[in-house]
Amino acid sequence: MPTDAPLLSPDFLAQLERLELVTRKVFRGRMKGERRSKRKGQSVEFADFRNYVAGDDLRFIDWNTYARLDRLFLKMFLEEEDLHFYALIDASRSMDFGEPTKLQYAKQLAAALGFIGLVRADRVRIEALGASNTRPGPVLRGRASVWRLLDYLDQITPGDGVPLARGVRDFCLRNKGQGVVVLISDLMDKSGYEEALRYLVARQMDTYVIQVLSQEELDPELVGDLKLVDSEDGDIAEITVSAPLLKRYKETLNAFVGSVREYCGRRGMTHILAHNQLPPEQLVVNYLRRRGLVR
Amino acid sequence: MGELGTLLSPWQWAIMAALPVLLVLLYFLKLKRHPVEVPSTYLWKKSIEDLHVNSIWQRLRRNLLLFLQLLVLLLAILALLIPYWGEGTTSGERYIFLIDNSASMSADDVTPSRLAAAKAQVNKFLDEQKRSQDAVMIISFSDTARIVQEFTTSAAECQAALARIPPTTRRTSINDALSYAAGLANTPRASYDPEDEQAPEPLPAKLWILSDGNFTPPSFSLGNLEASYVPLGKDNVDNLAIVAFSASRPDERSQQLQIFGRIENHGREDRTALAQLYVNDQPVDVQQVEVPAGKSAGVVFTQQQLETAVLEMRLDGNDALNADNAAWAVINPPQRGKVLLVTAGNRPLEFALQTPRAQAIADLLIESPQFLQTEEYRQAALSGLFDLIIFDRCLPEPSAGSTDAPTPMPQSNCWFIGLPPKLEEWGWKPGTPWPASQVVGPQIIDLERAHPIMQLLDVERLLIAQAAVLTPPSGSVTLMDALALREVEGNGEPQRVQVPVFAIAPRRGFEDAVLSFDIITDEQNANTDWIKRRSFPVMVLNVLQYLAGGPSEGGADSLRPGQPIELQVATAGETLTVATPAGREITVQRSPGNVFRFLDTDELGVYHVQSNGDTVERFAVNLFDSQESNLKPRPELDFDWNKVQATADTRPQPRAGWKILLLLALFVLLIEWYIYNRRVYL
Repeated sequence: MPTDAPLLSPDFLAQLERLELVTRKVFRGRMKGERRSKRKGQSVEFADFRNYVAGDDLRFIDWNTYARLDRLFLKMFLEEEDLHFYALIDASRSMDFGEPTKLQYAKQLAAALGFIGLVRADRVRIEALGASNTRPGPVLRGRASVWRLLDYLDQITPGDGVPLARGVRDFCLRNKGQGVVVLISDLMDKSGYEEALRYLVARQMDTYVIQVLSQEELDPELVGDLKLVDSEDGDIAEITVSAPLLKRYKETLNAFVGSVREYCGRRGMTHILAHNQLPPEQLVVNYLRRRGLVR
Repeated sequence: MGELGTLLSPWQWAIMAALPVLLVLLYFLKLKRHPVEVPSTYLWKKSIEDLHVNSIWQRLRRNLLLFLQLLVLLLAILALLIPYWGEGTTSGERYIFLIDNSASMSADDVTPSRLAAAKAQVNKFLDEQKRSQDAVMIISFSDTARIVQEFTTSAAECQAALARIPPTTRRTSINDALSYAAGLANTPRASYDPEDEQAPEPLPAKLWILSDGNFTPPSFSLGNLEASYVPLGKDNVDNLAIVAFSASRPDERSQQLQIFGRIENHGREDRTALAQLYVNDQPVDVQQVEVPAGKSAGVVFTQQQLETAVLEMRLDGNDALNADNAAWAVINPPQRGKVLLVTAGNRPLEFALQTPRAQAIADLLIESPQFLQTEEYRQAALSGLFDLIIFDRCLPEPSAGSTDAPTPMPQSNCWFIGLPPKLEEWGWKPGTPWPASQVVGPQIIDLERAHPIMQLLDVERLLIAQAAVLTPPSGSVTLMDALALREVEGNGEPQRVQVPVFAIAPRRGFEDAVLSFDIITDEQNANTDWIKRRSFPVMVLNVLQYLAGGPSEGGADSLRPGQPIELQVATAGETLTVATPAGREITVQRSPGNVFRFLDTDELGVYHVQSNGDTVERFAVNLFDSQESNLKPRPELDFDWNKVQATADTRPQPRAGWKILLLLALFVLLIEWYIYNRRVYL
């Protein structure tokens, strides 16, 4: 898929319109939204009664109860607030591989999820990790911000070799709020992915890790004696491609993915493995829905 | 391997030794890895680390391809070398090359010709054997064999001899060549006693037959000869050939001359032949003949009677062999024998000699016995002017005039009637009466019917009054035997004895027939009733045909290349000149027996025999050999005792081992290819 193709096709958008982001945790929002909040507030959804204390808004007194019990009770309604949705795109060089590139794939995913959030009046923020020169993404609200969202995604380019952990740490430092965070990355970081995930766990965010791998990584089509050059740090691995090596590689890959899944599972995070040949539509509509990120 | 050392020159060894080194170097060059950028080497590093645990095995596995390639190379080198192993090519080996230079070897289906290809093969062999001590012998063979080079170790001599082998137009016979070749290899042992030290040691040799195999392999035991046969020429070669061409006049239309030709198609496709007839080099007729593949077709031209002419038939178009695309026939001026009859009068004989058939054979001159004393007769007798001289009851006089001397014999065939020649071979002794004895009333009891003179004769109950007793010389043929009464000395009682009455004996190229009884006595009385029988003129005609040599039909007796011819030309000179078709002029000396023997008939075409600048006779030499014209090489030679399969090359026969080695190398190569492509290690 060429990079100048629209991130979201009209058909896909129509499908996304019907979805909403779901969180297994209930967070306090900043603004009124469409989600139930921990806070009681003004909405049509009844939550509880409490005794009247001086100063309470007389409009919320339940006059029917007063007539029956001769005591003043205040009706409390559930407050509906917005959801904070963060999409973290790993924009390291290693993401710039595959056809379409993993980065492009990540952008599509982020756009789709961000669009769902904007449609449902959530607070959406996209951040590109690993690209030191990229400005932090804007906070977006409302359907009208879709274009800003896409603009921002467009200008994300594969950046320098900033470790994933530092990118996530910076993100956590910048954003105090809680909410749903989707990390889209290949997690191929020599210093390890665990540190990065630990930051997210520490913020008690509802974390989804979408690990994107390219077809070339899943099933390498390499032949001969090769000198593999790491795209991020220029590290060299000399290999002679052979059946046992390929077998070994696949075992290593499976072990790696398995370890990520286990790591995430133990810490209440959801790990989803995606590869760039899987259409984003299918991933969002089928997989993410099954895993509970969207509804 | 010591033998190998002398086989290969040092630099050849160096090249062979350098090959594996080169391969290893190439392998290292190949190890320069091709850089490929990947998203991350993270997983690869981990994978390699795992594999590094058994790194020695890993290294071995990595080099497995190299090992396999080295193995392939080694097997290939061995396959090249093995053939020479144990062959003992270096010294003492004997090679005999039989090179066919018959007519079919001039075919140009292989350029430039099959013979040239054969020479090139042998040259190649000699080049390769230059450094060895092998003895090489070269024999060329067509209808005869010729040793062009005796055993020698000098390649240069062989190559010079090779270049001298000429192409011929002769037919093929390998017998002589095989005999020559076998002469040294198979020593004839007088006894099979193994302790017989007299017999020379047989010297085994390798025999190479370079031929197209267009001959009938004789039954021959090769014995110690290790024969190989290199067939030359292509299988699918087209050739139209004239295999017969002659002219004759049918009896009923004797003014016309019928000219027959037969064309064979030795190709694989039906062909249309365009046969052109030339008379004295002028085209006079052309006919188109369909010749089916592998079959023959005839062509007949009719021409007005020609007194003397050179006929030529040519086939249009080119094919592989040109020698059989033209044929010649000669119509010589009518030549009749000259017969001198010396008689004092013999009506029956004169009559028999003057029948139309007899006149067609020979011109007759009748002289009285006095003619024998003239100078004219002496000249004629010495020069061989007459083909046959018939002496009826007379003998040529000795020149000295003495009656007690042997008869001077003329340079002609003779027929003595009634009086045998006074020659010691015929039982004459000086100083005795002649004829020695007489018999009365001999009865014919036996005839030599196989002899041409006795053909078609019926002499049963032949009455003969008186006959002389013949003592034919050794080597003679007794034509008629009779049983006669003969008086034995001392006893006085006549006894029945068997006496020859008609005999014929050779005399230095001539033949003398002697009839021991008179036909007509001096008193002009019949001595026999033969003259009243039909068999008498038949006998006279037979004698004429046999001794006076009637002419043959025009063109019927074409010579084959290399076949000798005896020219019987009435010329007083001692030499003749024969102009060959190529224009060479060859002088022929008169041989004893009044004939000119001409042997140089290798060229195809018409030969002109000239005497004093005038062409007196012509004869044609034609290939006319179906076997030579059939150019398809024989796949194998079957000498009854040994079968010799065809091989493509004169290189030393590789041992069967090289095939296995090469197959093995191929197999290893396949494994290597599989491992490389499927990335499968053991």
